[in-house]
Amino acid sequence: MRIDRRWFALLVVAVFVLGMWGFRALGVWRPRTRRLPPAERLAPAPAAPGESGAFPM
Amino acid sequence: MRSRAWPLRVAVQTASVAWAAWIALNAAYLVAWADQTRTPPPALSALAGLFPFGPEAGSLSIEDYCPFGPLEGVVRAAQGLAAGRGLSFVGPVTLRNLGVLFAVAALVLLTKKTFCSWLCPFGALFEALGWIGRRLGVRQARLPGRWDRRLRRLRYAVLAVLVGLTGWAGYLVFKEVDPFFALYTVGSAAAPVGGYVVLAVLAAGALVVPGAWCHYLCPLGAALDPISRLGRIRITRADPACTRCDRCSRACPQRIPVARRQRVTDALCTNCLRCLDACDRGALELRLEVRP
Repeated sequence: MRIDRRWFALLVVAVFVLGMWGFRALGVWRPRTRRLPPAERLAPAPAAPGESGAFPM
Repeated sequence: MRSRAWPLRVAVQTASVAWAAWIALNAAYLVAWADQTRTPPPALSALAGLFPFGPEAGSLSIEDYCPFGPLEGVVRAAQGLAAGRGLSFVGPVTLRNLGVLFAVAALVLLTKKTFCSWLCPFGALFEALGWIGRRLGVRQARLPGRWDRRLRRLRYAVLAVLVGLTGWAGYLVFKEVDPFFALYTVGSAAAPVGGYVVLAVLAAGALVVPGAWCHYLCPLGAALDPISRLGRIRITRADPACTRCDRCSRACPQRIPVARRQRVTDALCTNCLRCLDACDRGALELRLEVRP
Protein backbone atom coordinates (compact mmCIF):
# COMPACT_ATOMS: atom_id res chain seq x y z
CA MET A 1 0.00 0.00 0.00
CA ARG A 2 1.39 3.38 -1.04
CA ILE A 3 1.76 5.94 1.75
CA ASP A 4 1.67 9.69 1.23
CA ARG A 5 4.46 11.72 2.86
CA ARG A 6 2.07 13.77 4.97
CA TRP A 7 0.33 10.68 6.28
CA PHE A 8 3.70 9.15 6.98
CA ALA A 9 4.76 12.15 9.10
CA LEU A 10 1.51 11.89 11.03
CA LEU A 11 1.95 8.15 11.44
CA VAL A 12 5.47 8.54 12.86
CA VAL A 13 4.31 10.99 15.53
CA ALA A 14 1.13 9.05 16.26
CA VAL A 15 2.85 5.67 16.71
CA PHE A 16 5.43 7.17 19.05
CA VAL A 17 2.88 9.05 21.17
CA LEU A 18 0.39 6.18 21.21
CA GLY A 19 3.21 3.75 21.99
CA MET A 20 4.06 5.71 25.11
CA TRP A 21 0.41 6.12 26.00
CA GLY A 22 -0.20 2.43 25.38
CA PHE A 23 2.55 1.46 27.76
CA ARG A 24 1.21 3.94 30.26
CA ALA A 25 -2.30 2.53 29.83
CA LEU A 26 -0.99 -0.88 30.86
CA GLY A 27 -0.73 0.67 34.28
CA VAL A 28 2.97 0.23 34.73
CA TRP A 29 4.13 3.70 33.80
CA ARG A 30 3.19 6.91 35.50
CA PRO A 31 5.07 10.15 35.08
CA ARG A 32 7.20 10.92 38.10
CA THR A 33 5.75 14.14 39.34
CA ARG A 34 6.36 15.97 42.52
CA ARG A 35 3.43 18.29 42.88
CA LEU A 36 4.15 21.25 45.05
CA PRO A 37 1.43 22.13 47.57
CA PRO A 38 -0.59 25.33 47.17
CA ALA A 39 1.02 28.47 48.56
CA GLU A 40 -1.24 28.73 51.60
CA ARG A 41 -0.25 25.28 52.76
CA LEU A 42 3.44 25.90 52.38
CA ALA A 43 5.39 26.17 55.56
CA PRO A 44 7.82 29.06 55.83
CA ALA A 45 11.25 28.25 54.57
CA PRO A 46 13.47 26.82 57.31
CA ALA A 47 15.90 29.34 58.68
CA ALA A 48 19.38 29.02 57.30
CA PRO A 49 22.25 28.76 59.79
CA GLY A 50 22.98 32.23 61.13
CA GLU A 51 19.49 33.52 60.30
CA SER A 52 17.05 34.34 63.05
CA GLY A 53 13.65 34.23 61.43
CA ALA A 54 11.53 32.70 58.71
CA PHE A 55 11.58 35.83 56.56
CA PRO A 56 15.12 36.17 55.27
CA MET A 57 15.99 39.69 54.20
CA MET B 1 3.73 21.00 -7.57
CA ARG B 2 5.01 17.78 -5.99
CA SER B 3 5.05 17.82 -2.22
CA ARG B 4 8.39 17.48 -0.47
CA ALA B 5 9.06 15.51 2.69
CA TRP B 6 11.78 17.67 4.20
CA PRO B 7 9.55 20.51 5.48
CA LEU B 8 7.42 17.92 7.28
CA ARG B 9 10.48 16.28 8.78
CA VAL B 10 11.97 19.58 9.92
CA ALA B 11 8.63 20.51 11.52
CA VAL B 12 8.47 17.23 13.44
CA GLN B 13 12.13 17.55 14.48
CA THR B 14 11.59 21.12 15.66
CA ALA B 15 8.60 20.02 17.73
CA SER B 16 10.67 17.21 19.23
CA VAL B 17 13.55 19.53 20.17
CA ALA B 18 11.08 22.04 21.64
CA TRP B 19 9.41 19.31 23.70
CA ALA B 20 12.74 18.07 25.09
CA ALA B 21 13.80 21.64 25.83
CA TRP B 22 10.50 22.24 27.59
CA ILE B 23 11.01 19.26 29.88
CA ALA B 24 14.58 20.34 30.55
CA LEU B 25 13.53 23.91 31.28
CA ASN B 26 10.84 22.69 33.64
CA ALA B 27 13.08 20.29 35.50
CA ALA B 28 16.13 22.49 35.70
CA TYR B 29 14.74 25.94 36.35
CA LEU B 30 11.07 26.29 37.12
CA VAL B 31 10.85 23.68 39.83
CA ALA B 32 14.16 24.83 41.30
CA TRP B 33 12.80 28.35 41.30
CA ALA B 34 9.61 27.19 43.04
CA ASP B 35 11.65 25.27 45.61
CA GLN B 36 13.83 28.27 46.29
CA THR B 37 11.04 30.81 46.59
CA ARG B 38 8.67 28.41 48.40
CA THR B 39 5.86 29.36 46.07
CA PRO B 40 3.91 27.13 43.71
CA PRO B 41 5.27 26.71 40.20
CA PRO B 42 4.51 29.66 37.96
CA ALA B 43 1.75 29.56 35.38
CA LEU B 44 4.28 28.59 32.73
CA SER B 45 5.08 25.40 34.59
CA ALA B 46 1.46 24.65 35.39
CA LEU B 47 0.66 24.98 31.68
CA ALA B 48 2.91 22.01 31.08
CA GLY B 49 0.21 19.85 32.67
CA LEU B 50 -1.80 20.33 29.50
CA PHE B 51 0.72 18.31 27.53
CA PRO B 52 -0.50 14.73 27.17
CA PHE B 53 2.71 13.18 28.39
CA GLY B 54 4.90 16.15 29.14
CA PRO B 55 5.95 17.35 32.54
CA GLU B 56 3.08 17.97 34.84
CA ALA B 57 3.37 20.79 37.33
CA GLY B 58 6.16 19.32 39.33
CA SER B 59 9.54 17.89 38.56
CA LEU B 60 10.33 15.69 35.66
CA SER B 61 13.77 15.05 34.37
CA ILE B 62 14.81 14.59 30.76
CA GLU B 63 16.22 11.30 32.01
CA ASP B 64 12.65 10.03 32.28
CA TYR B 65 12.37 10.19 28.51
CA CYS B 66 15.65 8.57 27.55
CA PRO B 67 14.94 5.31 25.69
CA PHE B 68 18.54 4.17 26.05
CA GLY B 69 18.48 3.79 29.85
CA PRO B 70 16.81 0.34 29.94
CA LEU B 71 19.21 -0.91 27.26
CA GLU B 72 22.21 0.37 29.18
CA GLY B 73 21.07 -1.52 32.27
CA VAL B 74 19.98 -4.67 30.45
CA VAL B 75 22.68 -6.80 32.15
CA ARG B 76 21.54 -5.70 35.60
CA ALA B 77 17.90 -6.33 34.63
CA ALA B 78 18.75 -9.84 33.41
CA GLN B 79 20.69 -10.54 36.63
CA GLY B 80 17.69 -9.39 38.68
CA LEU B 81 15.30 -11.59 36.72
CA ALA B 82 17.63 -14.60 36.95
CA ALA B 83 17.90 -14.14 40.71
CA GLY B 84 14.11 -13.94 41.05
CA ARG B 85 14.15 -10.32 42.17
CA GLY B 86 11.95 -9.20 39.29
CA LEU B 87 12.73 -6.45 36.85
CA SER B 88 15.31 -4.06 38.23
CA PHE B 89 16.86 -0.99 36.70
CA VAL B 90 20.07 0.95 37.08
CA GLY B 91 20.18 4.36 38.70
CA PRO B 92 17.41 6.76 37.72
CA VAL B 93 16.14 4.40 35.01
CA THR B 94 12.62 3.11 35.64
CA LEU B 95 9.60 1.68 33.86
CA ARG B 96 9.00 5.14 32.39
CA ASN B 97 12.13 4.74 30.30
CA LEU B 98 11.04 1.25 29.33
CA GLY B 99 7.78 2.81 28.11
CA VAL B 100 9.69 5.20 25.86
CA LEU B 101 11.87 2.35 24.59
CA PHE B 102 8.69 0.35 23.94
CA ALA B 103 7.31 3.23 21.85
CA VAL B 104 10.58 3.60 19.92
CA ALA B 105 10.74 -0.16 19.22
CA ALA B 106 7.11 -0.18 18.03
CA LEU B 107 7.87 2.74 15.74
CA VAL B 108 10.99 1.10 14.32
CA LEU B 109 9.17 -2.19 13.81
CA LEU B 110 6.63 -0.41 11.63
CA THR B 111 8.56 2.41 10.00
CA LYS B 112 12.27 1.44 10.26
CA LYS B 113 14.59 3.82 12.11
CA THR B 114 12.38 6.88 11.70
CA PHE B 115 13.02 7.71 15.34
CA CYS B 116 16.56 8.73 14.32
CA SER B 117 15.68 11.06 11.47
CA TRP B 118 12.28 12.36 12.59
CA LEU B 119 12.07 12.34 16.38
CA CYS B 120 15.46 12.14 18.08
CA PRO B 121 16.12 15.63 19.52
CA PHE B 122 19.83 14.92 19.69
CA GLY B 123 20.04 13.86 16.04
CA ALA B 124 18.01 16.90 15.02
CA LEU B 125 20.46 19.26 16.72
CA PHE B 126 23.47 17.64 15.08
CA GLU B 127 21.72 17.71 11.71
CA ALA B 128 21.05 21.42 12.24
CA LEU B 129 24.72 21.95 13.07
CA GLY B 130 25.73 20.23 9.84
CA TRP B 131 23.38 22.55 7.93
CA ILE B 132 24.80 25.58 9.74
CA GLY B 133 28.33 24.40 8.89
CA ARG B 134 27.42 24.26 5.19
CA ARG B 135 25.82 27.72 5.38
CA LEU B 136 28.94 29.11 7.04
CA GLY B 137 31.08 27.66 4.29
CA VAL B 138 32.85 25.17 6.54
CA ARG B 139 34.70 22.64 4.41
CA GLN B 140 32.89 19.43 5.31
CA ALA B 141 34.51 16.05 5.09
CA ARG B 142 32.97 13.02 3.46
CA LEU B 143 34.83 9.92 4.51
CA PRO B 144 35.77 7.41 1.84
CA GLY B 145 33.25 4.57 1.57
CA ARG B 146 35.60 1.98 3.05
CA TRP B 147 36.31 4.10 6.13
CA ASP B 148 32.68 5.00 6.45
CA ARG B 149 31.67 1.33 6.57
CA ARG B 150 34.41 0.53 9.09
CA LEU B 151 33.64 3.42 11.38
CA ARG B 152 29.94 2.56 11.46
CA ARG B 153 30.90 -0.59 13.36
CA LEU B 154 32.18 1.69 16.10
CA ARG B 155 28.56 2.18 17.21
CA TYR B 156 28.35 -1.48 18.16
CA ALA B 157 31.59 -1.18 20.13
CA VAL B 158 30.21 1.90 21.97
CA LEU B 159 27.01 -0.03 22.71
CA ALA B 160 28.92 -3.07 24.00
CA VAL B 161 31.21 -0.97 26.21
CA LEU B 162 28.30 1.03 27.68
CA VAL B 163 26.17 -2.05 28.38
CA GLY B 164 29.11 -4.12 29.64
CA LEU B 165 30.57 -1.53 31.98
CA THR B 166 27.15 -0.48 33.31
CA GLY B 167 26.32 -4.13 34.02
CA TRP B 168 29.65 -4.63 35.74
CA ALA B 169 29.52 -1.44 37.83
CA GLY B 170 25.79 -1.47 38.59
CA TYR B 171 25.30 2.24 37.92
CA LEU B 172 25.31 4.58 34.94
CA VAL B 173 29.07 4.87 34.69
CA PHE B 174 28.98 7.19 31.70
CA LYS B 175 26.50 9.69 33.07
CA GLU B 176 29.31 12.12 33.86
CA VAL B 177 30.30 12.22 30.21
CA ASP B 178 26.84 11.77 28.71
CA PRO B 179 26.42 14.55 26.12
CA PHE B 180 22.61 14.13 25.92
CA PHE B 181 22.23 14.54 29.67
CA ALA B 182 24.63 17.50 29.61
CA LEU B 183 22.68 19.23 26.83
CA TYR B 184 19.34 18.98 28.57
CA THR B 185 20.52 19.85 32.05
CA VAL B 186 22.53 22.85 30.88
CA GLY B 187 22.97 25.40 33.63
CA SER B 188 21.51 23.21 36.38
CA ALA B 189 23.36 21.83 39.37
CA ALA B 190 23.09 18.29 37.97
CA ALA B 191 24.90 19.15 34.75
CA PRO B 192 28.04 17.02 34.29
CA VAL B 193 31.19 18.95 33.32
CA GLY B 194 32.61 15.97 31.41
CA GLY B 195 29.40 15.82 29.40
CA TYR B 196 29.97 19.38 28.20
CA VAL B 197 33.44 18.52 26.97
CA VAL B 198 32.07 15.54 25.00
CA LEU B 199 29.18 17.68 23.75
CA ALA B 200 31.55 20.42 22.56
CA VAL B 201 33.70 17.88 20.70
CA LEU B 202 30.62 16.31 19.09
CA ALA B 203 29.19 19.70 18.13
CA ALA B 204 32.48 20.72 16.50
CA GLY B 205 32.58 17.33 14.78
CA ALA B 206 29.03 17.81 13.45
CA LEU B 207 30.10 21.02 11.72
CA VAL B 208 32.93 19.26 9.91
CA VAL B 209 31.61 15.70 9.48
CA PRO B 210 27.81 15.88 9.17
CA GLY B 211 26.05 13.10 11.02
CA ALA B 212 29.23 11.93 12.75
CA TRP B 213 27.44 11.12 16.01
CA CYS B 214 24.52 9.29 14.39
CA HIS B 215 26.63 7.39 11.86
CA TYR B 216 29.63 6.39 13.91
CA LEU B 217 28.89 6.66 17.63
CA CYS B 218 25.20 6.48 18.59
CA PRO B 219 24.64 3.32 20.66
CA LEU B 220 20.84 3.57 20.47
CA GLY B 221 20.99 3.60 16.69
CA ALA B 222 23.18 0.49 16.80
CA ALA B 223 20.74 -1.29 19.09
CA LEU B 224 17.84 -0.46 16.77
CA ASP B 225 19.55 -1.83 13.64
CA PRO B 226 18.25 -5.43 13.93
CA ILE B 227 14.64 -4.27 14.49
CA SER B 228 14.92 -1.77 11.64
CA ARG B 229 15.55 -4.59 9.19
CA LEU B 230 12.03 -5.85 9.99
CA GLY B 231 10.43 -2.43 9.40
CA ARG B 232 7.35 -2.77 7.20
CA ILE B 233 7.18 0.72 5.68
CA ARG B 234 9.95 1.00 3.12
CA ILE B 235 11.12 2.92 0.11
CA THR B 236 10.37 0.95 -3.04
CA ARG B 237 11.31 1.60 -6.64
CA ALA B 238 8.98 1.52 -9.63
CA ASP B 239 11.19 0.30 -12.47
CA PRO B 240 9.45 1.82 -15.53
CA ALA B 241 9.88 5.37 -14.20
CA CYS B 242 13.48 5.00 -13.00
CA THR B 243 16.18 6.39 -15.30
CA ARG B 244 19.09 5.14 -13.14
CA CYS B 245 20.26 8.72 -12.65
CA ASP B 246 21.52 7.74 -9.16
CA ARG B 247 20.31 10.95 -7.54
CA CYS B 248 18.53 8.94 -4.84
CA SER B 249 21.74 7.15 -3.86
CA ARG B 250 23.67 10.41 -3.71
CA ALA B 251 20.99 12.03 -1.54
CA CYS B 252 21.07 9.23 1.04
CA PRO B 253 22.93 10.32 4.19
CA GLN B 254 23.40 6.65 5.11
CA ARG B 255 25.07 5.98 1.73
CA ILE B 256 22.60 3.25 0.83
CA PRO B 257 22.73 2.55 -2.94
CA VAL B 258 19.01 3.21 -3.29
CA ALA B 259 19.16 3.12 -7.09
CA ARG B 260 20.29 -0.49 -6.94
CA ARG B 261 17.56 -1.57 -4.54
CA GLN B 262 14.11 -2.72 -5.54
CA ARG B 263 13.07 -2.11 -1.96
CA VAL B 264 15.23 -0.54 0.75
CA THR B 265 15.35 -3.08 3.55
CA ASP B 266 18.76 -1.94 4.84
CA ALA B 267 18.93 -1.66 8.62
CA LEU B 268 20.60 1.74 8.30
CA CYS B 269 17.65 3.32 6.45
CA THR B 270 15.94 5.90 8.66
CA ASN B 271 13.17 6.73 6.14
CA CYS B 272 14.30 10.36 6.09
CA LEU B 273 12.77 10.45 2.58
CA ARG B 274 15.61 12.48 1.07
CA CYS B 275 15.77 9.95 -1.76
CA LEU B 276 12.08 10.56 -2.49
CA ASP B 277 12.67 14.30 -2.57
CA ALA B 278 15.67 13.84 -4.86
CA CYS B 279 13.77 11.79 -7.43
CA ASP B 280 12.17 14.04 -10.04
CA ARG B 281 10.63 11.13 -11.91
CA GLY B 282 8.54 9.89 -9.01
CA ALA B 283 10.17 6.49 -9.38
CA LEU B 284 10.40 5.97 -5.64
CA GLU B 285 7.53 5.60 -3.27
CA LEU B 286 6.90 4.77 0.34
CA ARG B 287 4.99 1.53 0.73
CA LEU B 288 3.60 -0.53 3.56
CA GLU B 289 4.47 -4.13 2.81
CA VAL B 290 3.01 -6.69 5.15
CA ARG B 291 4.87 -9.63 3.62
CA PRO B 292 8.67 -9.78 4.03
